[in-house]
Amino acid sequence: MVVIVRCALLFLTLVIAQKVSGISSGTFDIPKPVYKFEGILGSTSEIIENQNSLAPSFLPYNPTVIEIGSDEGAGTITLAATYPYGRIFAFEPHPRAFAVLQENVKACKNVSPINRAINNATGHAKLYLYRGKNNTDRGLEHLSSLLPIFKSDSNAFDNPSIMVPCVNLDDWCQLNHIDHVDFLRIDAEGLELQILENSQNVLKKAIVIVVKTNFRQLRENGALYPDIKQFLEKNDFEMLAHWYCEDLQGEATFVRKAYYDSIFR
Amino acid sequence: MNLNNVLRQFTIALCLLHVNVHCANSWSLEHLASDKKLAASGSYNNPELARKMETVFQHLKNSWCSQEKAKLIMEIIIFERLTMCVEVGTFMGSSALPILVSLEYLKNGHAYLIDAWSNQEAVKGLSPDDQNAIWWSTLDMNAIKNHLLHMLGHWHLDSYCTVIHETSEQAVSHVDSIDFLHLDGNFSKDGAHLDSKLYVPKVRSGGYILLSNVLVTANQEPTKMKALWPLFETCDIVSEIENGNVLLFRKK
Amino acid sequence: MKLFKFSIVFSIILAILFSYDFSYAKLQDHFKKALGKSNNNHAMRNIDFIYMINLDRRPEKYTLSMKYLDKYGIKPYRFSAVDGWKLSLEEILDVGVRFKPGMTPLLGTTFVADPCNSNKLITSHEFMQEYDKTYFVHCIAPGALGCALSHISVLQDAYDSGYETVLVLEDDIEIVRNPHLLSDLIDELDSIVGHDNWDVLFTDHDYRIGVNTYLPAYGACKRPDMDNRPEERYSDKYTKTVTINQNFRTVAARFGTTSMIIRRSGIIKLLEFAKERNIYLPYDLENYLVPGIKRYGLNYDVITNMLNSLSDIGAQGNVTSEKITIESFLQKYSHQIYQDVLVKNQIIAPGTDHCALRYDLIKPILALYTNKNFSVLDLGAAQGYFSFSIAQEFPQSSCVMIESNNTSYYAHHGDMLYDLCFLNSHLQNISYLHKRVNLSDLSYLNEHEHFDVIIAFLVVHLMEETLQEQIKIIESLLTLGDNLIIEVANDVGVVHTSYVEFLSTKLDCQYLGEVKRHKDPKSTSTGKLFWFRTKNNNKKKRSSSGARPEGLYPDHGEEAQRAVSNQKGAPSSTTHPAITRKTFLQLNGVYPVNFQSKI
Repeated sequence: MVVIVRCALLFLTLVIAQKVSGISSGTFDIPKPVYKFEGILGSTSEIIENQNSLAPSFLPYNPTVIEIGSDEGAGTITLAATYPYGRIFAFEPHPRAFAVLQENVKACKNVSPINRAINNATGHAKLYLYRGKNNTDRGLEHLSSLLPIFKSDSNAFDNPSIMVPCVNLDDWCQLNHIDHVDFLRIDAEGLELQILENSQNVLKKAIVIVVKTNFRQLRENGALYPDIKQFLEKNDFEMLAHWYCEDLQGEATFVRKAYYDSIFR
Repeated sequence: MNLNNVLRQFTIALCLLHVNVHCANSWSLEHLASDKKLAASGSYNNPELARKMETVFQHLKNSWCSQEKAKLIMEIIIFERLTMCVEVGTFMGSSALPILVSLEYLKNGHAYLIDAWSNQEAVKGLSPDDQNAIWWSTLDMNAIKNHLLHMLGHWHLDSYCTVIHETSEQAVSHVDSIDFLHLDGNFSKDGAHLDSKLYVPKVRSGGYILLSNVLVTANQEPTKMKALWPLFETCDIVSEIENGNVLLFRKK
Repeated sequence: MKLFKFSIVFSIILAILFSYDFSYAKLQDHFKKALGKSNNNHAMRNIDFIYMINLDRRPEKYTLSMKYLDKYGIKPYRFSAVDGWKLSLEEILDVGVRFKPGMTPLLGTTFVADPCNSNKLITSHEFMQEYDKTYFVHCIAPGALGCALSHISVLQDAYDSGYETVLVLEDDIEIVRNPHLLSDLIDELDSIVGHDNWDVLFTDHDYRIGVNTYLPAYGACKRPDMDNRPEERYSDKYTKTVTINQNFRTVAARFGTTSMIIRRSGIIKLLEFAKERNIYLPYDLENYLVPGIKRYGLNYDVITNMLNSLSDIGAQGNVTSEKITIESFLQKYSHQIYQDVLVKNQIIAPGTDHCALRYDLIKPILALYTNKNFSVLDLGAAQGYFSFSIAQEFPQSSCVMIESNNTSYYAHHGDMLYDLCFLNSHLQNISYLHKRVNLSDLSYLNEHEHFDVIIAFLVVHLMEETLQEQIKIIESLLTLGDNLIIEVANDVGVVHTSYVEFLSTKLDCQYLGEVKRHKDPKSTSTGKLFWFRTKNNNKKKRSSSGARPEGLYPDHGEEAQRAVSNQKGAPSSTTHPAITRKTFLQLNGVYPVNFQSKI
């Protein structure tokens, strides 16, 4: 449900930001949202409605969970309730969102909010704030990213940015004596693949990865879904379920191949 | 949700692949008629028609008219021989194409394609800060109409249609007894309701009405709900596609 | 020399003793005894003993099954089933498969004690790595373990009792043909394959998931201690069935163990397998893995599984509902709840949605029936807030709730409501049908029942996806009750909402108002309530005295009695009693346990 709402919002954002280029270009490139599902479990509506509940079926009762891009914590609270005996580390670099996140998860004893971005390396980096075409809509800031927005003819504007502390995930785990992460959930506005590529130690032991997927180049060097899928498959994961808005965005659940094979092959 | 028994769920899902599951939200001509009647029509399972439809589908990829909607339009027009067609809100002609190609296949019939092609008319009734209003107000309507005309020329469909560059209110006097009506005009509550009130009575008994973008919202509320009332009053619902966003009615 | 020999022998004995795992009890240590058996009456021709496995907390299922069999003079012995949900951690760890070297590691499920409450168990899904740790098949529920132990315990009793042939039934059977046919079928099977050449005979075609619709199995499930290669699991052994004649076929892998005739040879094979290998899979999926077992089935159904039966195996399960407490209820259903949870007229847990606001809107309608008997149908009752409130405030009402699991965005409504009925057992005027009703069920209700008031709050758009079907449901409800109070939403099922609004202008309808649905202050979701009065339109269903016309229900002695009692000056001349026993059974009534027609 959250994915549908976010896709709809993004769709409207894109539509506003685009200019109709006219007949000489051949097409008007006005996308119409079409929602689709792919995955082993077919398209029974119960599975779709509860895609976020797939992960618990592959995890122990006390998993270590890392959520990258927690925003204000709506998803984090659900994680806390789903894994009451687990440990959840929620990363959010945006200062305003982090303040809300901290407040929202105050009562969740199993959640540690961390005001960091996850990046290739530890240090500081620019967080490009997205506020719509006219740079006025703060309600769209959850679409901010460490990657600048992808510039096209119809979309040539600059984002404001702030510097945020960031950390490499493997480094952070080592520093904090976390020897394995069972469940990784990533929503990093295009940075998903780079995060995965630079978290080889975490990747080796992770069981379930839920990752935001993109089908459009919204960010400079932002990864598209096929690349993420290929990378994870090379690293011994299988796509379990993918709910997406065609040509736009989605969310995919990947699970370690041995686990997948054990059930489905 | 707990996957009570993943094995059972997986097996059930596999089994369903082997079972003829009727999907509630899908179009099929079989809903309308028995196999015998379909076979007798001569059009059903016709290879030439299938090729024509495939060509239309290819052209409409990534357009505002989905394959399912195009299929519905073509099958209903051809099978029911709906020769007097009216479309309110033609825009680029994505839905007009399957209408006209169907008439061409029947070698009979005519379609009135009505659109104001006006930014002002498009945003009438919408709040100025509504996302729809912002979008509609920035479009190059001349270019969009020219695109339609170019398409009509390219497909040699000019003789099967009359393009009416007027508001739906102005254009209603041009049409009389309608066999097939496609309503996809103004997105506002009042505009959609007006289109429905003006044109549904013009559809003959046994004629069909296709209402598109049923679930569109403006100012955070669905705007076409009142537009449904004249249809509830005088029609039976035949089919729903695109998760209820497109509804097909038949006039009682 | 003697000392040397003694040392060798002693060492060998010690080695044997140390290699034997004393840390775990055996499977058979957890078998349940069949108590209170008599050998009379529980037999049929060619069948020495008939067992029916039934949980103590499910007397209604036993009563219903017995009712079906009673017609044929068949009386099974009620075997008190092992309640998997009450097994301790130690018991569960004893009966499962311990992962050992040489086994194939799989993703399995194990159980651990809740760190906060050692009496509660938590499932944990893990890839097998740790030797000697107990695992079961992925996502197994304790209920399935209880079911397996029950079956195996019955087999042990059958073996100890020396029976040659037994019929083992579960408690959710449906009789399709005269069960005595089975005696003749046993004779025929003996003559075809040989008396000692079959082990199990299923008394149906296959496991049903609908009328004339079966759930086929496509191969064997994996066990860590068996050959899991695809060529083995999908071999003919597990996939091929051969039709023998018009009655019989061989059976490979299949679901369901609702009704099986088992020969002594089969009893021995099944017992040996279980004792040697312990439990890993649900019983029906383990059953066919027994080496050399010869299974047959019928080409049609004689005794088969009931459709839409309340399952006791599922992941959530039910603790003994009679003993459920507020504390155990709150612990069991710790997730988000839709309606405020009422127990003895107190809210013990708040729901996400406003309830009191809606109740206030409908109360004046209910008040029209003050001092009269009246019936209420609560369609999609959720946590029963409205029915419990009505039943409490209007003791002369009779409230029938309909609900089911997995019918809503919120989980486990069916199970929750069942438990809440027991927590509100002080109310004698409530009943609960656990069924996801469809148009066909509503047609049945229209034919056999009628209600004074029907409440359908935000439910019709969930019953069917298409507007076409939703319209039919509304039409059905309009004839089913004298007053239909329907709530529609502003943000979901909007086309359905539009239709109801349209209909309200066409029929005798009063708009009751719009209420905020969610307690979350940020939510803009609202519900509009409409009161459709259809009493006059439904006059044909009642005579002026309020009784149903004679002859309308010729089979219902109860109906006729009610009609007579209504005529004899019962409090209402224009109101209706609730439902008949037939309806209660037809629509999977689960509460009250001993249902009687209510006046």
